[in-house]
Amino acid sequence: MNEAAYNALVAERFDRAPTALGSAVVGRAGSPAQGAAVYFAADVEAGRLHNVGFRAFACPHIIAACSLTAAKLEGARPEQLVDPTLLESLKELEIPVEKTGKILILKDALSACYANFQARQATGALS
Amino acid sequence: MIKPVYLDYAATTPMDPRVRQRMLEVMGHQSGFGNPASVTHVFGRTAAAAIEQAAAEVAALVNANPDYVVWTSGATESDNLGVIGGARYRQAQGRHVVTAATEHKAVLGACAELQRHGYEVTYLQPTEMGLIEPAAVSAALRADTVLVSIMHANNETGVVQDIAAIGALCRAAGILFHVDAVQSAGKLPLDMQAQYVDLLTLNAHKACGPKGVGALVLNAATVKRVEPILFGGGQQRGMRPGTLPVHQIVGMGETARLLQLEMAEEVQRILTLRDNLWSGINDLPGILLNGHPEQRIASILTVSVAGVEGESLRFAVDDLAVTSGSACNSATGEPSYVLRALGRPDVLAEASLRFSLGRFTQPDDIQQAITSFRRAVTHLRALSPEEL
Repeated sequence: MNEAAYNALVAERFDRAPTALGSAVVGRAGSPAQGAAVYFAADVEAGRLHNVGFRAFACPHIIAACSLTAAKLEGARPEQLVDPTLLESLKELEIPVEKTGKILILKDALSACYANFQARQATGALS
Repeated sequence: MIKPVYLDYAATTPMDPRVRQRMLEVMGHQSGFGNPASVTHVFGRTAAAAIEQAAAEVAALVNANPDYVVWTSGATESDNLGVIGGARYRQAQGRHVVTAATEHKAVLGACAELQRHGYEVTYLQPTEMGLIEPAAVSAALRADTVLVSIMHANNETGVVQDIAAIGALCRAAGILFHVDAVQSAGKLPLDMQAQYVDLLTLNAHKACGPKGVGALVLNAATVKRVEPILFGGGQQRGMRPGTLPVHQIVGMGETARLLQLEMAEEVQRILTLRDNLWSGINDLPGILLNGHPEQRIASILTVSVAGVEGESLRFAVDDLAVTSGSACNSATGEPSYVLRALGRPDVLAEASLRFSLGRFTQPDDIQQAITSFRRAVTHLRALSPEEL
């Protein structure tokens, strides 16, 4: 694969292995057969997301996108998991247009994570 | 930045300085710049003599008659000329060709061209080890079969076919047998007589020679000519017209001479390096060798990695010049059709790396490859949601 196909931010984010991975709320989308599988997880403390982390079977662009998104969500309110502006910063990664479908998998994982938050909150499992 | 390691010898190779020197010797004003067809003066005769010597060197490598070495621009043209030119030469006897689904695209493309002109082509499927069984070839032969084309060593997996057995079948049936030996030349013994090969494709740049030159070698005992696919002057008995590039042909001749001289020692050295590479990575879980474990050339190791995504795998080993499948396939971004034919699902065909070693590969290169590969796989597995 042509190294020039990825910018420096993709390379930096790709190499940065996730450290934290919460467990209070989780969301998963996609599959290897679809070309990408993304898992997001976080803890919720005092109404804020913490230990936001991810796992991804995906191309470098999507791994970098997950990494950027996880960093942006640290300390955010759970509703921001589905904030339409959340993924705007991914423009910095210069993701090729043909990978739009994989970005939607990332978005679906975040939505699943929020749905899980809502479900757990409704059952009183979250403070 | 870490110095990149070149492990893509199956795509192309750095030129051997000895080959470069021989080429330079015939590029001077007083040496070989003449047109070898201009035998009326010394410049042309000098060039023609250099061509003759190169033909002798190439012919000696494969046990052929030097008069039946047809120079081409490379392996793609040789494959095209062998398949199309051979089939057309025998078209009065029939219009059926047999080949394998795992052939190089230069052969598959030539077969597709024949199909556009009314030929029928049977594409044999390999075993999951990548082998084309001689029995499968035998079963595909028909009364109107005029040509069989099976490569010696596969360019993606390195799997070696039993060309002597297939050649014997073809010879007994009076069918032309074309072999693409680009990956095996200088790595395995080639003998057009003992292996019953009628048409043989070779090139120089896969064996530390120059790009832009190849040969189709005819077995003088069984086939006197093929129909041309290019038209113009009458050079090379009309089979491949065009002024011969003396310096490149001389380079290919020297390449062949060095292969014959050094093959035994070089193959053993490369085999040791390849085995060291394999033993340095195969303890990682989910590492799958593609192709037959023994029946393959020394220089190629192709693996699929379960549980990691292919594009990220290649990105993570960006200090290694390796490809996913063939270089031609890497350009399209499609999973390897060869690995698919071996039964690998798309996810594993995509997550494959071909390491190909050669004359200038050193033990340090292999150590770096092992370190880089292990780091990449470990990193991607740690990221994988399948691990949760």
